[in-house]
Amino acid sequence: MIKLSDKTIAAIEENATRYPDRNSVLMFGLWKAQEELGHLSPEAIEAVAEAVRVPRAKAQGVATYHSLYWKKPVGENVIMLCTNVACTLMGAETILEHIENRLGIKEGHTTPDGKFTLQEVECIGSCGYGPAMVINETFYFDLTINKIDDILAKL
Amino acid sequence: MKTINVVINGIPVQLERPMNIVEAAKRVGIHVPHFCYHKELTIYAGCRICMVEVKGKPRPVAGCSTIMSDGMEVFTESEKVIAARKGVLELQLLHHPLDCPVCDKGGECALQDYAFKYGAAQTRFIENKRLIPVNYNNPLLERNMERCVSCKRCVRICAEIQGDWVLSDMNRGSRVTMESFCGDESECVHCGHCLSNCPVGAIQSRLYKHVGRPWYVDTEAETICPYCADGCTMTLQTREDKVLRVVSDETYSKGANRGSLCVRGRFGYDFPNSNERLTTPLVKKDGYFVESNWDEAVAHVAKRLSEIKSAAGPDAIGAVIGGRNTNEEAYLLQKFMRTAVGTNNIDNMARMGHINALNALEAAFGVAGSTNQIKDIAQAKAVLLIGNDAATENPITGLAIKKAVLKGGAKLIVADAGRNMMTKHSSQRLTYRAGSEGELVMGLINAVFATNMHDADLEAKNTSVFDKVRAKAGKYTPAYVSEKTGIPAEDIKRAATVFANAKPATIVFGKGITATADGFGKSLALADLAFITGNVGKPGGGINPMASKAGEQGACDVGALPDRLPGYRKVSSAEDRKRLGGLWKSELPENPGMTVGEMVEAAGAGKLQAMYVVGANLAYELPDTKNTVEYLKKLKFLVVHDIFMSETAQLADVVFPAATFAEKSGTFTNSERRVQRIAPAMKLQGGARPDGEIIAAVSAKMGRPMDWEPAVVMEKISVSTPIYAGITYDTLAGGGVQWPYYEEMKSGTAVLHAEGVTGRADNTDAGVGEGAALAGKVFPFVADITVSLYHSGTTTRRTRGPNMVVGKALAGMNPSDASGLGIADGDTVVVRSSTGELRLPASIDKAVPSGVVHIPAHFADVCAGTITGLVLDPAGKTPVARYWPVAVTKA
Repeated sequence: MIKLSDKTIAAIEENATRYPDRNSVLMFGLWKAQEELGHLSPEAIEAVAEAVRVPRAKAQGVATYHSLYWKKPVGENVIMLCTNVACTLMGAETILEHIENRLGIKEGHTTPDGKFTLQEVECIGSCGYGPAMVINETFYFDLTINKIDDILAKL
Repeated sequence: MKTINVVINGIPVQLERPMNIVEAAKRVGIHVPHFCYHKELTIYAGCRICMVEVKGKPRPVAGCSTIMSDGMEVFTESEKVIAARKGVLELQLLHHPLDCPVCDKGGECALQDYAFKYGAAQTRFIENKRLIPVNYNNPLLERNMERCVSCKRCVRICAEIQGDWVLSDMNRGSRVTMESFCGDESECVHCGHCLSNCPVGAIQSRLYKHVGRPWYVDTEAETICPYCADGCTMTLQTREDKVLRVVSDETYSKGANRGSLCVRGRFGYDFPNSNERLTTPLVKKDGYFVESNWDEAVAHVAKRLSEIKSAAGPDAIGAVIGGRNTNEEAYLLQKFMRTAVGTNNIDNMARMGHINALNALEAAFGVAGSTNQIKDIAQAKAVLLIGNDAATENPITGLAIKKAVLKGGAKLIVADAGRNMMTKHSSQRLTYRAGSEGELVMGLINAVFATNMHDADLEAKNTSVFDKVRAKAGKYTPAYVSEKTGIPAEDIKRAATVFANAKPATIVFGKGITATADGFGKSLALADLAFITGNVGKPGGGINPMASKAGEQGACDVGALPDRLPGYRKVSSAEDRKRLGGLWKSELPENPGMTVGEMVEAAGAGKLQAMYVVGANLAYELPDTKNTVEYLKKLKFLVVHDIFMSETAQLADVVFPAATFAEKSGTFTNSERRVQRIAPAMKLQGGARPDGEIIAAVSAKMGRPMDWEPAVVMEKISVSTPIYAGITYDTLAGGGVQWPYYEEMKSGTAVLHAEGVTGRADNTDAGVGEGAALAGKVFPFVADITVSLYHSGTTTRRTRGPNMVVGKALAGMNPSDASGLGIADGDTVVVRSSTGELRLPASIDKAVPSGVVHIPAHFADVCAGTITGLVLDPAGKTPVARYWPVAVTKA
């Protein structure tokens, strides 16, 4: 059983005061636990459920619903590339292929050195600036192969 | 409220309250297709098949989430609606496997029916079917998520009605599955709510797998579950005289349970099919049972009983009826004993505890029964659950309590000496030292008075009663009670405040009170607590004693008691004896008889020479097994009716094979005084006969013929038993009646004493005794001997379902106690007391309080009676055997 840090628990408790219903803190709690632990293992989900005081099945349901909660360990940098219609029309598939070749991994995997995880994602709301991607919490748009090489080299 | 006028498919409908389109359409017999909608659950509106057209709206709307307003005009089968519905079906069938031929749901599947009706089998999509392995995580269920339509009814019913929230919808979109946390089903209590609510074949019973089809059923009978005293309505389906399965009420409206069942009712149905059933009368000759026939065996019994009666007098014969017999059978047995034999030595197994509650409620309020009804508990704002684990002993009462908490925001106070599975829903848990129940209740009364939280208006009208109660509770100050019970004084005050300030507040109690020393006085104290807080006579208030078995309340009602005639009339009353004697054309014996415990003791002393035991397994159910067996062996003659060769039947001179509840008619009266009919779903198995018929045959042979047909017996009961006046099989049609029944209103009584309490003049001074500590130096633990959710004795030992979940007895122990003794989970432990010892595996369970060992009371190889002694409480003569001091060591 994982124990969440006092800081995470305190953050959950502080957040709980903002809502009339404690259930509302569940997503925040999962997010904080992910920040602390890197990803949400079943044990971590259980720990969050206990801290928020919701059934553990419910917590797992929420965690598995949202793709931004990592259920498996991820690399230091998570590349989330949009492959929806608009981005694909603008060449997202070529970009994806290029990243896969450059990192030597397939979509959904992490590099052996633990530096990168590559994920296809659904629309990130940038259809006017496609292809687009998010790495960690930074947004990149109007992607080209050269631009990708620059970005990845700096990380 | 103004009525709402709407039009559905051209039919004008008047609604007296706002409701959704699906419910409104139901009023005029129109079915709006739906998967996710369920009237008892929150609206989810996720399946989209209930789309209907509303005049003036551009798009179809969901029938489940749209509330009808005045003047609304709805079309449920218009062209536009059918097109939308076909679209939804097309999407559902995209992934749904076409395995109807091997799916148990075939013939009663909503998806199948709708596809058949709307014909959307052709799809315009080219897509692979989902491939998800069948999930066997649950011992009783299999979940085939390829068939799931994502309606989430299983998830919601588990969370909202059962209150356990074992399931959740994992992942999303086309990958969604309904699963438990990482497949761990340890929180599941196997109630089967999810099974009965799945509209398709995604959740199926492993017991019913490939057993039958809906059209394969040849007999279907709506009946009452024979296990606990909640008295749940359920339907037995049989074919060729074998039980196929139990189904629950899909309308969620019938009986005390309103569609819910627990694991025992839903999955414990196959004991009538058992090949261990007794099939022919057996007579013991030279120590061995010899198969006999009915004429011979009945004649033999009549002859032997007559001989003993003339040689030693009628009081040398005693009779006991078990907790699973019908009211009619209990009535016939007591009449047989009082007329044909001529003794009051008749008792029933409510003597194991429930009788104390009934006597106390009679002393307090004048009526020997629960003051309220089970479903009422859901309206309470506070519930004191004491000495009863409603989640395992009376699961449907447990659901009503959960509803009060989950829907009504009620505060639940769980007070128990041992493990209590309702704790997770409680706002406060009071763990008292076994034996100090009375002090705790008195402490609550004291705290209520001390802070003037009692009902002052009521006090003005009942000054003398209040004074008496106040004086009785005087010495139980929080400090004193805290010392006796081990509960901090602050907690006692807090519980009293919560309970006294909630209106209405109710009390639910059981064997943890009634089967302990001074069970009568403790029950009376609880009645006092309900009274002084002004909760008696209020819906959602009152006091609810929980009987253990389906027939206990009824057996007491109809007079299977040594000191009471039918309707709790006293044997000592010459007037009542005369009235009944007139009806029965017999002079009734005037000396009160012996209780079951006294009978066994008298058998040991040679004073009782013969016993007639119907459906009670005395050698197993009574404490002190060793001596009980010894004493029963001393009887000159023992007759036993049973469905199986029980431990008691093995000691008998004559054994009659009895019919199960699935083969006979009759009535049970549940904990809330509801008299309900059971109906046969199959022919008598082998040579078995209903107990009533056997009793009547013996009685006739002894010169007192009786009618035994249950409907006729009930007519007689309604004449001889004042509290059952007016109750006949006709009045019981449609959900039963809570006695007393009022002919002029054509209804029973849901809430007693609504006009005020009349019986308080008969108040008694009985105290709660001294809760001396049970555990000591030699025996440092207290064994909490109680029922398990999955079992209830001779019957469930022969069912497949409950045994698939829990197949053997385990000694539940607190982790700290176990580690102190070097005991690990699964280690064999020896539980030793002054009378004997048990060897069984330990189960480490943090829900068991420290200092307590949880021992289940109903496994063949581990007989809890081995470690208890026969001690009869002076007031109710109930065996005091709920808690027993023991020592625990690693084997």
